[in-house]
Amino acid sequence: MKLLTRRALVVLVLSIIILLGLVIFTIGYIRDASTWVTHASNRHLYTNAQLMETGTIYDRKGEILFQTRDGAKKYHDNKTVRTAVLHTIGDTNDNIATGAQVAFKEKLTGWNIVSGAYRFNQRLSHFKNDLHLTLDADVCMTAYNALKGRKGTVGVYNYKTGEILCMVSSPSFDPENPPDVQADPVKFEGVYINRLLSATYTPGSAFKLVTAAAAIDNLEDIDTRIYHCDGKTNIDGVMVTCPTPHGDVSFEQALAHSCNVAFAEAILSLGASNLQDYSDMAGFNSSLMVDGIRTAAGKVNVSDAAGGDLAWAGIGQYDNTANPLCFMAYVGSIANEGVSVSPGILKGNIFSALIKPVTGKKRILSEETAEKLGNMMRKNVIDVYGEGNYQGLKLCAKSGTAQVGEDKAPHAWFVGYMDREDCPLAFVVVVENGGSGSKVAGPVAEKVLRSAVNSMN
Amino acid sequence: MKMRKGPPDLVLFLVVFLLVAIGIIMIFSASAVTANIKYQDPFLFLRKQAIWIVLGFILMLVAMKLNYHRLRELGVAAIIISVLSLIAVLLPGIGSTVKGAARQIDLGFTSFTPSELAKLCTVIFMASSLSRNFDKIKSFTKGLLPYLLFLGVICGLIILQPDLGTTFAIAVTGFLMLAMSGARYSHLGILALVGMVLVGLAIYLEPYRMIRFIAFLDPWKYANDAGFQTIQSLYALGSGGLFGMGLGQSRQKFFYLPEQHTDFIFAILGEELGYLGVILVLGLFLIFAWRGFRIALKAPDSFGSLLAAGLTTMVMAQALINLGVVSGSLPVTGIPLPFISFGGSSLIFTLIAVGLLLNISRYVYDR
Repeated sequence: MKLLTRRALVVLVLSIIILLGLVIFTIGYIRDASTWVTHASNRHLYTNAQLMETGTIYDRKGEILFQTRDGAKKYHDNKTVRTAVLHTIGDTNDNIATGAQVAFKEKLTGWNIVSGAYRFNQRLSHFKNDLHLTLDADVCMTAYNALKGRKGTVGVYNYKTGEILCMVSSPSFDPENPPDVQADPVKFEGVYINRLLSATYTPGSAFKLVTAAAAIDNLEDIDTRIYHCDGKTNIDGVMVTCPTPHGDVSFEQALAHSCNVAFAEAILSLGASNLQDYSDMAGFNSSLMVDGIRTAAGKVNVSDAAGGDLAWAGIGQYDNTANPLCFMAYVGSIANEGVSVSPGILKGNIFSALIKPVTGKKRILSEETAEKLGNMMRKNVIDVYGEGNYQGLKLCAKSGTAQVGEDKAPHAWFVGYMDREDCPLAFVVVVENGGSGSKVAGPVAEKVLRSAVNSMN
Repeated sequence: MKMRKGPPDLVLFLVVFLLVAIGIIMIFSASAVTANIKYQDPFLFLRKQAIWIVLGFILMLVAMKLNYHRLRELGVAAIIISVLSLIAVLLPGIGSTVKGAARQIDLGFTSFTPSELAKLCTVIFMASSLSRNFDKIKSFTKGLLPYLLFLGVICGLIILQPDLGTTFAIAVTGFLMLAMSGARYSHLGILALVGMVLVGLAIYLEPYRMIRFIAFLDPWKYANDAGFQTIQSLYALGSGGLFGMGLGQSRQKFFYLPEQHTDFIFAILGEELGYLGVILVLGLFLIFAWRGFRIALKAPDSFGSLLAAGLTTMVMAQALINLGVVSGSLPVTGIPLPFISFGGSSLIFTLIAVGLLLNISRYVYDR
């Protein structure tokens, strides 16, 4: 009888299994219930793998970018707007994984962990299920037009609030008339990728903004030192070259003229570890979360680099890569006195503003360093890029012409911000194989920023 | 010490009453739509289940009033009836085949599921026999082997129907009763391994089970065929949220989720009553296990103790398998959720088991 008493505990083993099962189920439930419900084979939400009814997606001014009407998806009335915002909104077949239709499926379909799926026979609530984006349809359209069909991306965001006004990726297409992508794989290469969020590129000289920050903080004579550029320098057998000799230049002039020789010398003084620290601090090796959408992470790894390789890494070549949105956030931190504000695309209403976590803020640079770097970027525009080209924008910028192989034209980068209280905007423009950063990407930025200024005022 | 009769375990009774009450509400909610369309009578399953409940509670009271010690003598007779009915259901013309399985005998006015009787009788027989043979159980040939052969016959007949879920529930119950009776851990370990191999073989050798097993590993990949039931169940559970869509508000019951008022009723419950409803039902089952365990511990003799433990195990094993299937934690196999799912045989024999538990709970010693 005693043995039986002890062994009768096995009855409780089943209870423990149920309890364990409950714990596992609960974890799975919290983690996956939205995935279960919003799966494309759920016929309450989908017909032919398309959402039957969702909330409406608006831009910052209340223009309808996407809605479902009688079980069919409807996009903006203007074809160019539809094409320009495609990567933010998503396509009809959900091929664009970072599009709002996929990324914010829960909200659009009305599911939440407390009340579950929306009530039977009840319409979706505009208050709860509509998405209000920070995006500006007009600015996006301008950006798309300015790219003129070239592959690349344009991003603009408010560096004080984190609101993204422009997110354009090219190539794109009209979601109401999707093309046969397979028929022209070259033209539509990476068409389902939002390049602002998910691409990484060799940054070229735009990366000098990171090296410059490290130099400002760590090289004591940086303000007085004069570098001499003969157009090339040999570092341990590796040639570092400039397109033309710059002669004697200060560090500030070296940034403005993007002098590789001067920067190579500065980088060697800094050392690999300093460069690595500043790259990491600036977020070049990590992803950002844009309202839950994870960006691609760039790569700067100079732990094994020395001599000429280290010099090239510091001027944005070697095997460095950068994600455009992360770069924009870094430039935003220079504009915002060293504090980076996480970019986001959800505007939200009063209700969601209450439950939405406070936008992430992180100090990346000291206030003094950010100010110095900002002044240098301002001088770049005045002395080199031409203030006349950007009249009234109070632009601070840095171009990059990233070499991507001998037989290919370089990627054109242009990053920077407007030093204006009324339009605190940072931007990034990348034109793939576009050529000169300032000459190709610069004019794109100019058009987009003017459109943004008009929109904000 | 003198044995006297006390009041039955009221907590256990209340828990069972609540589970049955939740069950009938959910059966109506889950079945009304399909019953109306298929049989033009939305109350069909509600009415049938109500009759079973009344009958079940009457039989529960009878089982509670009997002197359970007399069951010791009935163990062999019960098993003979069980085996005969399990054989009968396999015979063409007697067993009615539904969806490829011959699990029921059509009695005209209703149908009867022999495996439900076999489950109860197996526990009664094993409790009766094991309580007399405690001293032999440590021997494999003289103690364990006869029970294994017995379980093999019962399980073999049920798996021929085929019904792997019930087979598994009986095997688990039998195994745990052997463990409680003092079988050697080494024997039990080997037995568990052999059992796992047999289950593996049962899956491997039957193509439809193999397909279900593969679908169980990644149901989303087979959303439109073998994984259909599991993901429809997950839609239902996931749609409920914390508070549920509201009683009667399920969408999955509209011909999306198969077996919505029988084997998958728990998914509809999760959809309508939400995570809190799920917790409530699981909580009630856990209280059931606790009370059953308590009755087994306090039983006045080894037969009562084994019987109580066996009956509790039987109900809990079945609940565990059903909940595992519904939550996608186990491959799909047809087994009802005790007290909740629609089905006369299952409910009646489970309520008789509860009656026996309440019966045992009444016997206490004056020390």
